[in-house]
Amino acid sequence: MNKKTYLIAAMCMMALSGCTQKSELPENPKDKEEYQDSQGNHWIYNAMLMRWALMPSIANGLSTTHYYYPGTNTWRNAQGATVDPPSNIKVGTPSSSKTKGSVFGSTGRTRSTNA
Amino acid sequence: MERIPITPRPNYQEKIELLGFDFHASYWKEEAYYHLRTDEVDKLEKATVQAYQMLCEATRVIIEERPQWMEQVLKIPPHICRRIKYSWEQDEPSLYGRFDFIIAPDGTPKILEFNADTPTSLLEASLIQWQWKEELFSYRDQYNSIHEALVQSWKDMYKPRSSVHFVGSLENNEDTGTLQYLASTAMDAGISTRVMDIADMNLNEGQFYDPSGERITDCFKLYPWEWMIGESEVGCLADIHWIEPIWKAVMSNKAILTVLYELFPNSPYVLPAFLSRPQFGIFCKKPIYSREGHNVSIVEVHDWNEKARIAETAGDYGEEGYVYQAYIRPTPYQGRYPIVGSWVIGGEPAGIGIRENNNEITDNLSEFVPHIF
Repeated sequence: MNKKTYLIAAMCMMALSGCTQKSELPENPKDKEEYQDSQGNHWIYNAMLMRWALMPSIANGLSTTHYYYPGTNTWRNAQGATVDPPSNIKVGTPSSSKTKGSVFGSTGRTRSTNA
Repeated sequence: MERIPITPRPNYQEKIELLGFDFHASYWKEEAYYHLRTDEVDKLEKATVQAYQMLCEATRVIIEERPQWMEQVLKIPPHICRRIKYSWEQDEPSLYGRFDFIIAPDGTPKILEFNADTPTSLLEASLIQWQWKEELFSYRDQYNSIHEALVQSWKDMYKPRSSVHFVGSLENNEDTGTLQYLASTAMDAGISTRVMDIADMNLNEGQFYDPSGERITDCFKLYPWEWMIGESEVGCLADIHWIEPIWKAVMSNKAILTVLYELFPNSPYVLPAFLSRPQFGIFCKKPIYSREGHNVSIVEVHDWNEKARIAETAGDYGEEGYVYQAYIRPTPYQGRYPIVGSWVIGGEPAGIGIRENNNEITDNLSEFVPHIF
């Protein structure tokens, strides 16, 4: 294996590991909490909107901020449209997709149901 | 309709609190009442029947013919959309809802919105204003069969000795009071009830259990579907009968007003409504998801440029977008602006409650004013 082949293989492996490695986001983040995951992605949490903003970077190949909603395990773009997860980002099991225990009630502590 | 000042009953606070209305604060003052004519009541009842039929049709069109609308406009995840379709196809029963009507200068009720999921101001519309009427105007009538309709509706949905849990945010006094009142109407229908905080529901293997370990099979929730969907998709898909059913998520937002107008543009009760900013006109601009009049403004649009006539109220709603609903200038009654809340219970009109404000946008500072006819 020459140096060029090795570099290509190494880059492929790094990219592959980027695909399979999960970003384990904090379970109970505070508003404006920032988080740097093991892949170098920069996340900022918005407690009011209950979403993580994934900042664009060379590492993740994004050109605009993407938003991850742990409550529904969905992604949206800056226009609010539902989009596929960024191809090289895989988020670990978030607290709100838990299948046991108390799952409802967090929004009601900060907002009124009155309609 | 006439607004008539009146002296409050002595010790009225004690009287209404005895009935469980302990969250009245400055919301119930009984310093005035509205006197309606019989034909005005008939008009409201007829409007409520037709408005509900039209809204059911708009809901059907969205769920059956435009499922992508739920994802694109309401931002509901695909799994939940499928659950909504199932719920609609199974005809999962609804207990109640409340139209908010503004009365046009010619007397026609115009639909401002339909509170399909967690309508409040229920206890005061049902028992409290009836108690007031019985004490002061026992010889008159009131358009109010809300309590009887609730009891009958429970009977239609459940056999005696069935068990229903009632959940909500018990940190909120008003929610607790509303839940306790609704549970009492279910008890009147012979149903076994438990009131608890929604955070105390335990999910396990796709089923919910209460803190005593009893399985929750049927659950009335005073907690909006959009919050539940945001908090736990898994919880929304659990094996449980919810009241209100999940198809109410389609009916309970403001965006459905645009479909209503598209389907019934000539209805006297429907105001033009749009999801994007129109070219000209005066509009009430309100978030697709909003409560207590938050983030609502009156805007004037000229060549697609908008200018606020009444500045946006405070709040943190609006992320999912806004609806532009044609503005109709409310008629002031002694300087107050009333909104008529018309209840639909078990699919039928059941009575009204009137709230009024000092300004044109009804918010959580509005006051409830009883009525007679």
